[in-house]
Formats: sequence, structure tokens, C-alpha cells
Amino acid sequence: METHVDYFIHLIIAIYGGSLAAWYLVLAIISLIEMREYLKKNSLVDYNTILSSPSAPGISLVAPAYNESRTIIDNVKSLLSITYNNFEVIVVNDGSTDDSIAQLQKIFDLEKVNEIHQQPLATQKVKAIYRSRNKAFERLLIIDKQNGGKADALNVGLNFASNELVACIDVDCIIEPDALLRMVKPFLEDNLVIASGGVVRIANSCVVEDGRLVKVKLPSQLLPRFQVLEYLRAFLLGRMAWSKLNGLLLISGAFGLFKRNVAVQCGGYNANTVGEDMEFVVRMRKYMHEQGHPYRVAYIPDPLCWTEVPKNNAQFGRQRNRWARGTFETLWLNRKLFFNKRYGLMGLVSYPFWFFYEWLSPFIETGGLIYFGAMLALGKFNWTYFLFLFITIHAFVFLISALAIFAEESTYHKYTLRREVLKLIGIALLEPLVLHPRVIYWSIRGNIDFWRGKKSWGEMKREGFATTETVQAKLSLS
Amino acid sequence: MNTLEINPMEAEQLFLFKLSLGFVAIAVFFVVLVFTKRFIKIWRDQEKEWFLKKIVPLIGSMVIVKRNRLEWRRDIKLLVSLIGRNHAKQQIAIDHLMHLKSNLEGESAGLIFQLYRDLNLVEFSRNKLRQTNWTKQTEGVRELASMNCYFVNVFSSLLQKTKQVTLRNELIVAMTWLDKKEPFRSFRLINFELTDWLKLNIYDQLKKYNRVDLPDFSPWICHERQEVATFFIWLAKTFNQTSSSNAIAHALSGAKTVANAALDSLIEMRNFSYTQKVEAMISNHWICPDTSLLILCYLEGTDKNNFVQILIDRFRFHPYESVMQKADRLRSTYFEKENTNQILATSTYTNALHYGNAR
Repeated sequence: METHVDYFIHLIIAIYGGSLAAWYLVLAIISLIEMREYLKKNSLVDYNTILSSPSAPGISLVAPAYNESRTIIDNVKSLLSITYNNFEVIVVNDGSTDDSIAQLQKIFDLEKVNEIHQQPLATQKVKAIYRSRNKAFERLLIIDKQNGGKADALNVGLNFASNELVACIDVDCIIEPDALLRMVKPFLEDNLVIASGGVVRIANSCVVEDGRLVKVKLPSQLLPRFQVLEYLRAFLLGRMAWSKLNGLLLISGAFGLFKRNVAVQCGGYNANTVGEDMEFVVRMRKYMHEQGHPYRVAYIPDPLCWTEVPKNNAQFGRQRNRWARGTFETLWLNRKLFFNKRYGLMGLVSYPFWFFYEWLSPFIETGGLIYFGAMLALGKFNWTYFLFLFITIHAFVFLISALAIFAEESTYHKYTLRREVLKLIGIALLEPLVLHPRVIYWSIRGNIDFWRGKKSWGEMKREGFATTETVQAKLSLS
Repeated sequence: MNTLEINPMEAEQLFLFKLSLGFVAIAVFFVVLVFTKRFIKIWRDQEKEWFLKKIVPLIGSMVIVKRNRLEWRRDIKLLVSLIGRNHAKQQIAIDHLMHLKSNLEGESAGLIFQLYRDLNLVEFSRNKLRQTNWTKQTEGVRELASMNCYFVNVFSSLLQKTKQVTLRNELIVAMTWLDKKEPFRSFRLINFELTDWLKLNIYDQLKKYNRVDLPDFSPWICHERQEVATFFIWLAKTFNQTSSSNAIAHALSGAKTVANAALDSLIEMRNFSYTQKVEAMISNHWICPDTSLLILCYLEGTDKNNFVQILIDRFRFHPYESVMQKADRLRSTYFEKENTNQILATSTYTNALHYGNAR
């Protein structure tokens, strides 16, 4: 009887682990092929063509800000210096309690204006609208509103956006100067594209000058360095493949470009969820399916957006807790997609993949550990089996990480020093032992918090990016 | 149990062991590949740098300092000996020439083309068109196009044969500039999807033409495909090609999207001599908010107040947003006029106009 139970559990492990590994490998291979195709296709593209064309679509950049006074001026300057012809920057101050608005007023010479805009999406009250007296900042629109969360602020941005495309970005991110030119291309190539996303990379320890990233460096701290690998795997190996299959469910909240009319028609961002970016994309897709409109969600592998990631355990935990809640919320709110053939590949493949391999995996892993723990307590622990299973999983994770490093090296080659690549390989060996258990822990905590009704975001304290001066100062000190 | 038999547990462990070895082996392979690629990249970059150091000053002086025939031949010989038959070096030379060509004009640009020809790089680029790899073919088209080398038959046959979108687009764009006789030959040869990206690139090529040399858009304005017709109407508008006005006016009686584009073009080009045709549109298109707004805009440029009155009554049932736009338009043009004001005061436009004034 006991043997049967053992075999049954081993069978579950084999089926789950095997299918998961197969999926990840298939996705990695599709991504590598797709990325190669993308680079081949775009190697001769002159993006300045878009810049000089009167028919290039207008873009509204929407950047919600909450207590970002430390970095907001640099970030807004960075957004205003983006290379594109027809764009506006809408900064939505989401009821900040710091002096963000005062700083913006002073630096950009803002004045209150009375503008009436149609507001198709319901949001918290807009307190004031500001525009600059200085012609140099005429593209800038500042909206001061009552606090309602990031999703609510984005909805205000969608309401006020005057262009057909809306780029939703995190104000604390560094956007590459040609990011909009690259992001808009899928929309120009295919009328069916309703959203496009790009790769988000980690800016910790990178050198930033005047809101522009001037030197890419591997983070000096261990935790952000682990996350570099995670991001490489997720963005280069996962999403590229999902985009090819037209099954992409997530465009990072840090930087995504959307068709405004579809975004508004589907109801905008859901202000009651903490995973608003994923929920939004899923709902847009669902809406298009239900309306019977053909559509595509595009993804480009160019590194377009650089963000600061948590560098201590507490911040990291809060972030992952929120991500876990967001994932579950999105899956729960859209549960009717589950194996629903009406929603095509999204219902039959993408959603179940997220359910089984993203949401369920922490529980399965924890369940496995509990099983082995119980066996140990009962004195039936099979050390050899445990060891082999552990080595196999570890080897597989290392393989996927090696593929991600290979993808980065053979495409964008951002980490130019050999020692940085060596460090990444070292990190790939350590990550399953050091970071992964924490990710599992916070995912489960997130799910528990979700059932307890926790809705908060959890603040992340930004330290600002390193500049050449700070780097030199650090060097001279050391 | 027989000692030679492996029990299922052991078999499973053995399988896991083999699997992990397989994973590690593939991972190590990719790690080695990472460093190999890195090594090759660094080596290639160094080679390129070394080679460029040799040819850049020579090419630069050949393009800028005038040479007699003998000096030119001598330098060409020197360059040929440096480049040899090495494909990588030929490619570096072409890339450099293309880079120079994009920054130079006039006689120097002509000398670059001469260099391209004398170094036999035309053939190198042409050979790429014969390959089966579409990336190489696209590169070849780009190189030939940027050096103004056009082989009408080769390009046309490649365009008709290929199914690869990037290559096809490259050919269409190249032919727009190179084929002075029939720049839009590609539209005649094949049926292709005219994406915004392609439109943008065609426009970019047309920008390079002198105004007087611009091809005539009229024949294409009457194209059976609406997307083609609207694109050429847009081009006529953007380049203000007044000679296409008749064709645009003819398009007013076409499908809604074409008619809208035509109306918009006539307004932008300030050509108000087709009032009759526009009036005729009212009976067919008044129900459409976009078209009715355009009709109104057009009539603003004429002296047809009676039509404005008719239109106002009809607009009443249009969507709110559209009414708002029209209210803005009306306010700016007719609000001061007493008769219009009277009509508006009695209609549902009053609110809209107040809103318009507030803006």
C-alpha cells in the first residue's frame, strides 16, 4: 500500500516536473529562434524613418507617480527627452504626500489650467491640471489627483491621453531614447496589434546621467544580481515565445504600449487589483475575443526600459508577495478562461500554463518538501531518490539560466566584461539554492495574504540611480 | 528478487541521473558557446578596426581630394589588394561606403558610387540577390539601392518570387527611389499588404525626390484597392501635388474611406473648386459623422451657408463626441454670423457650443 502511495507521488512529480521542464524548454527554443528572426528582420531598419514621418501615430506617455520626489525631476526630464516626434508626457501625481508637485511646479514652471476632457473611465477626483508656461515643456501635462492607486492613476492618464497610442510606464524607470520608435513599429507593421511590450532590465549599479543610462553594469549586490538572471529568463526566454504563439498575458507595468480605444473600451485598469498590468492585458484580450475582433499582442526583445529592483530582503518580499497576489487575483477574476476554447490559445494554453506552472508551482514544490519531511519523520526517507531529484531540478534550472545568458550574449551583449558573465554563471548555480526558496516562501505568503484580503502595495524605497560622480566618489573613497 | 533485475525505484533514480547529466551537458555546451561567441566577436571587432584603419584614410582622400585617372587607378589597385576576395572585408568596405554616402552629397557622392563600382562591389552585392538566404538578399537590395544601382529585371523578378515580407518591402521601397520611369511598378506587379510601416518607408523615399520630379500620383488614386487609393491621396496631399486634384475629386464618389481621404486632401490643399461634387456627397454620406464633419469643413472654405444650415439639422442625431467637434468647427467659423447663431440657439447644439466656447 505504502509503495503504491510512493509510486503515485513519484508519478505526480514525474508528470508535473516533466511537463514543466518540457514547456520551459519549448518556450526557450521558440524564444531563441524568434529573437534571431527579430534581429535579422530589424538589422537594416532605420528607425529615423518613423521620426521624420508625418503619419507616425501620436503617443501619450502616462507615468503615475506616488511619493517619487527623490527622482521625479530627473525621470520627467528623461521622459521629455525621448526620441519621438509626436508625443506628450502625462505625469499623474497619485495624491503624493511628499513635495513632488511643488518640485515639478518649480522646475517646469507649471501653472494650473482649466481643461475639460471627456472621462470615459471612472477614477478618483482630479484636483488640478498643470501645464508649463515654458514652451520647451509644452509636451508635459501634470495631473494632480486624489490617491487611488497605480491603476487608478493610469486610468486618469488614459482619460486625458489625446493620442491613439498610450504608453504606460513607471516614472522611476529609465527609458531608452529610441524606445518609442521601437515599440511603435509592431503597430505600424500590423494593424491587429493592440498592445506591445518590451524587455525590462535591471538598472541597479548602472551609471545614469541626466536621466539616460550611460553604462550597464551587473549589480554589485547579490540580491539584485539574482534578479538579473530571473529577468533575463522571464523576458528573453518566456515572453518572446508567448508573443510568437500570440498567447502573451503579461506586459510589464514598467513599460507597455497600448491602443487607447481598446484600452478604454475594455474598461481600463482594474483599480481593485495589485496585479493591474497582467489583469489589464488579459482583459483587453478577453474583450477582443468576446467582440470577435482579430488581434495580436506583440513583444519585442530589445532592452528598452531599465528599472531599479529591491536590494534587501524585506523589499523583495513585499514585491514578490504583491506579484503573487496579483497573479492569483488575475487568474481568479478571469477564471472563466480556464480551458475555455472560446478564448482560443489564451483559454486553452496560456491561462492553464499560468495556472499550473506559475501559480500552482510554489504549492507543488512546498507539497513535495512536506512529503519528504513526512518521510523523514517516519524514517522512510529515500536519500538517494531525493538527491537525484534535487540534482536533476538544479541541473535543469541551470540549463535554462545558461540558455538565458546565451540569449543575452548572442543578441544584445549588454554585459561586456567577461567577469560579469562569469558572475552570472556563478549566480545561475547558486540561485536555486539561495533565491528560489525565498521566492516560493513569498509566493505562498502572498496567496495567504490574498485570502486574508490584503490589498496594499507595500512601499519600495528608491535610492536613485548611480551617476558618474557618485561612482567616482565611491571609487575614491575605497 | 533476482539480483540482475533493477527495481523500479532504482530505474527511476538512474533515469534522473542520466537526465541531470544531459541537462548539465547541454548547459555546459551553451556556457562554452557564450565564451566562444564572445571570443569570436572580440576578434572580429579587432579585425574590423584594423582593416578600417587601413582603408578609411585612403577612401576618405579619394572621395575628397580630386585625383587624375592614373592616381585613381593606383589607389583602386591598392584598395583591391587590401580587400582581396575576402567577403568580410568586402562587407566592411561596403558598409563604410554606405555610411559615407549617407553623409555626403554632390560630386563626392558620385565618387563613392564610382569606388563601389571600381572595387567590383556591385557584383558582390548582386551576388547576394542570387542567394537563397533572404537576409543576404535584403542586404544586397539595400546596398544596391543606397548606391543607386538598379537592375529592373532582377528586382522585379525577385519581387514576384519572394514571399518573405521584409525582403519584399525592401524591394518595394528601393524601387520607389530607383525606378525613375515607373516608381510604383511594384503595385502593378504584385498584390501586397500595404502596412503603415511600408507606407512610411515609401514616403521616406519620395521625400528624396525634387518637387518637380515627383511621380504623378493620379493613376494610383483611382486604384481598385481602397488602401492603395487612400495612400496615394494622402501622398498627393502631403506633397501638395495639385496636378492630382482632378483624380482626387473623382475619388469623392468612391467608397467612404476613399471619399473621406479625398475630401480631407482637398481641404488641406485649399482646393474648393469641387463644391458640386461635395454637395452630391451629402445625400450619400451625411449619416456618417466623420464624413459630415469633413463636408462641413470643406463648405467652410466655400460660400455655401445654405448647406451648413441643412447639415446642422442633420448632425443633430450624431454621437455626442462628434457633435462636440462640429460645435468647435461651427463656433470658429459661423458663431459670429447672426443667421447661424439663430439656428444654433434653437437646436441641441446650444450646449455643445457653450462647451466649445469654454474650450
